[in-house]
Amino acid sequence: MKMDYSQIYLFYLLGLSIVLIIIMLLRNIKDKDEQIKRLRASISRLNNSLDQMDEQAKLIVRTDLELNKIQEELDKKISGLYTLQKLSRSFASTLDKKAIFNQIKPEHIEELGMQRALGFLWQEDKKRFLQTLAIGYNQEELNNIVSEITSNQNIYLKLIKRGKTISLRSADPKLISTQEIRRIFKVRAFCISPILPKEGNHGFLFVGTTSEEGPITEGDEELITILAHTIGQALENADLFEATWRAQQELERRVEQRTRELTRAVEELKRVSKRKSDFVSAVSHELRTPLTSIKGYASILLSKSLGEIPLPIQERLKKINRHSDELVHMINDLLDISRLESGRTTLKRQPHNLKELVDSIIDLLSMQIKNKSLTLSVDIPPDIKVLVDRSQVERVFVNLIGNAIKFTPEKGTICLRAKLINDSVQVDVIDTGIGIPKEARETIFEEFYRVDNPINEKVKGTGLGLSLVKNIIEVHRGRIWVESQLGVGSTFSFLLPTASHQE
Amino acid sequence: MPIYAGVGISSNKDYKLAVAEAVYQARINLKQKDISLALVFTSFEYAIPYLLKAISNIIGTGVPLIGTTSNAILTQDGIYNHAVAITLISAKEAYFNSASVKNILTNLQVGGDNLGKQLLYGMKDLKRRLCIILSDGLIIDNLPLIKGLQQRLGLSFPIIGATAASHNIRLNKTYQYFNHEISNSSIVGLLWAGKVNFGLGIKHGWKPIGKPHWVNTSDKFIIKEIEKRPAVSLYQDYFAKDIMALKKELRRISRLYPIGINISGEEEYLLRNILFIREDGSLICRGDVPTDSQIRLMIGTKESCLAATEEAARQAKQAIALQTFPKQESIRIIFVFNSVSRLYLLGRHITEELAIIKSYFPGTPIVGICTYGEQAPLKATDFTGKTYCHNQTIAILAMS
Repeated sequence: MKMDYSQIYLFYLLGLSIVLIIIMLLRNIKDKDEQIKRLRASISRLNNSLDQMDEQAKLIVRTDLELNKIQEELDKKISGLYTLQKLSRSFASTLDKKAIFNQIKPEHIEELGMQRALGFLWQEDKKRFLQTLAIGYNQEELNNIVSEITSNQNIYLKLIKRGKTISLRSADPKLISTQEIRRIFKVRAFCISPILPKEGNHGFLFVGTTSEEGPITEGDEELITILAHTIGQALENADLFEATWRAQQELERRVEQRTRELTRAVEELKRVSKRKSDFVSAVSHELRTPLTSIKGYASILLSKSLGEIPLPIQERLKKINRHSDELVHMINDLLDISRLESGRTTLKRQPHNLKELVDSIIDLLSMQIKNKSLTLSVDIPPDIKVLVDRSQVERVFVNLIGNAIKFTPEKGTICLRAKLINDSVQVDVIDTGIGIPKEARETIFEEFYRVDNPINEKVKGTGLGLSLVKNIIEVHRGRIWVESQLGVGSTFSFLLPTASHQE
Repeated sequence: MPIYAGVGISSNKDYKLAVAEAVYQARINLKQKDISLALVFTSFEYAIPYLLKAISNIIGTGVPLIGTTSNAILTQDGIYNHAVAITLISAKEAYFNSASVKNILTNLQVGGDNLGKQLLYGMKDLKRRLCIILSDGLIIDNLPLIKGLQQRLGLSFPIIGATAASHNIRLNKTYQYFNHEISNSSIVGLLWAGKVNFGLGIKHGWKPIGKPHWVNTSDKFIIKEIEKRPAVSLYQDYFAKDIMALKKELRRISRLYPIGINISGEEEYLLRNILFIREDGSLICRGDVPTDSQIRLMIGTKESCLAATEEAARQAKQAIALQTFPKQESIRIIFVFNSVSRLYLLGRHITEELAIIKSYFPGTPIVGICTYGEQAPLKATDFTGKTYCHNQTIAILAMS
């Protein structure tokens, strides 16, 4: 079969088209291939990015985990510190040692992230541990623990002596087996911290957890250490308080006892004093009657109304008369002292010018002053008025100035001066006499006391003058005292109320 | 008003006094209305038979009672580790039935079915509205239980549940209360019907981090392989720790960085805590993880956690408002099932979470427990018939 040109041309065109199509297809395939390659590259890039993101995510979660741990620990610490603050306040509110442990409640232990707690204090006298706190245990468990601790108490004493908190994470295996502690105390993790008050019984605080929630951390150890330390301080405070309280009780008991003894002594003294005053008063009265008779008869005999008396008898009678006078004087003084002491004396207090009062006394004693060539100076302001019983106060001045004259050597000086002190006037009687020994300065105001000196040996005296003076001043609510230097002189000072005091 | 409620709480160590105190408060809050039902949440130490007797003696022996122990109880007054919380409900116009099934661990699905059967007693002809279940902390995966329950009760209404958290994290044991009985390894439930309105909010606040991964092999709640490697390698890679170190820190890591399962079409991931790492490197989760699931490692912060609480409260409030529209009935009680992991993450900031809830429902009684797992639909509205097992969430149920 022959083909014409048109057919050949058609075949040619067909062939050409096929070739062109093939070429186009090949080019398309090539393009697709490239597209696929590009897509693959994109996917690969995406996968890489995803992997990179995943790597970043890994970094993020690792960091986040660590941050969460830190946050958790921080939260635990904050919560723990709140609990410790609460407990610390509770401890401060009690000074009873037993009550200190009672302040720790299960909720406090839970707030510290634990469920079980025990407290033990070493009793030195009984040589055993006393259980003071138990949280989270039943009686049977507690009995077993106490029994275990009692049989291994040396281990716990060593722990206390070591003075450091131990826990599951920090316990020294040479010192203690953590497995054993977990078995005895029935916990998964624990902390044991010594309770070390400066004085008193040492002990330890045990806290443990049965939970699997998180291990014991350094923060837990710190919190338990603080708690044990706070308990120690509270125990210390309680001990101190108890010691102070006991001392105070003892002191109060002693003071009470002494007060009772003193009251008894004062009562006895008052009773004796009254008896003495009564006795002196009775005796004085009884003595005065016969003395009056003796003196009366002696005077009659001396008046010679019963006839002449030989001279030697006259002299003896004069002596009787003089001694009788002295005895009367003494009895009067004794009676006055007795009256003043017993409060039987009624004072006639009236305002008197002190200067005038003193001048009148000086007038009375001027002869004696002159006889001893003494220099007397008076430094009393003219306007001072004292509210006193004149007759009684005159006796004060007579006695004091009299003594000054008596104990001041010839050509000596006596000075009287007065000054106002608030509502009182202080009068000083100053002499340049022989002075009073130190040991006698308090006792010279006692009845019948006479200083042992050459003048007293020569000159008679009753030893009642200064006692009378003291009594008179005291019934005027005043006070008397003496300052003296042997060989230099003495100053008797006393206080009297001024008239303004009454106003 | 279909229901009224009053909540009372006491931490008195003497259970009798605690009961008397809590009931007294609840009665006052209930404004002395007739008591139809009592919900009792307590800490472990109050789980004694005398407790329920003491409650019945005061509120009346015929009043149905359900409850559970938990390691934390929350009310409008605060969060308690040692307390008795009693919620008294007066429900004159609403219908409810309570039931309990013991020893459910051997077959959870059968247990769920049994519970459903009991709950339906006398309620078959009523429109069911809501089922509340409280289960033992020993239950790792509640999915079979939910399946069994839904087989019996149907899919038309939501189930909201809580797996109570134990005081003992090792034993996970909790106790359930039903009338005068205390049991463990059990489940108690409450089926509501009739005029009862509710709104649910459930959120967790954890966000995905890192690239997605695929579960190759899993068996219910055990993830065996992720991307053809032992499942534990996911955590090993992210935390650069060997198995021993991971095991040691597993509780912390699992709570802070759970696994999130991507649910198709949903924005929120379904979280899973890792309970154990097995020797072969597989991970035991609290809740099911289907094979071929796309999973991510999740990360949460206090802020995201609190934001989720706020969102859950908002959702619950909005949902109940929609139900009662246009009447806008007062909300009578708020139930809160709050994951133990959130308490852990929030630490001492946990009171802020309660403050957020209170700010959304001022003056409304609040009662809740700390949970290991929560069971609820994914969303507050548009219930699709599916109840999921959640971890790490806060479920807020508002009722009126």
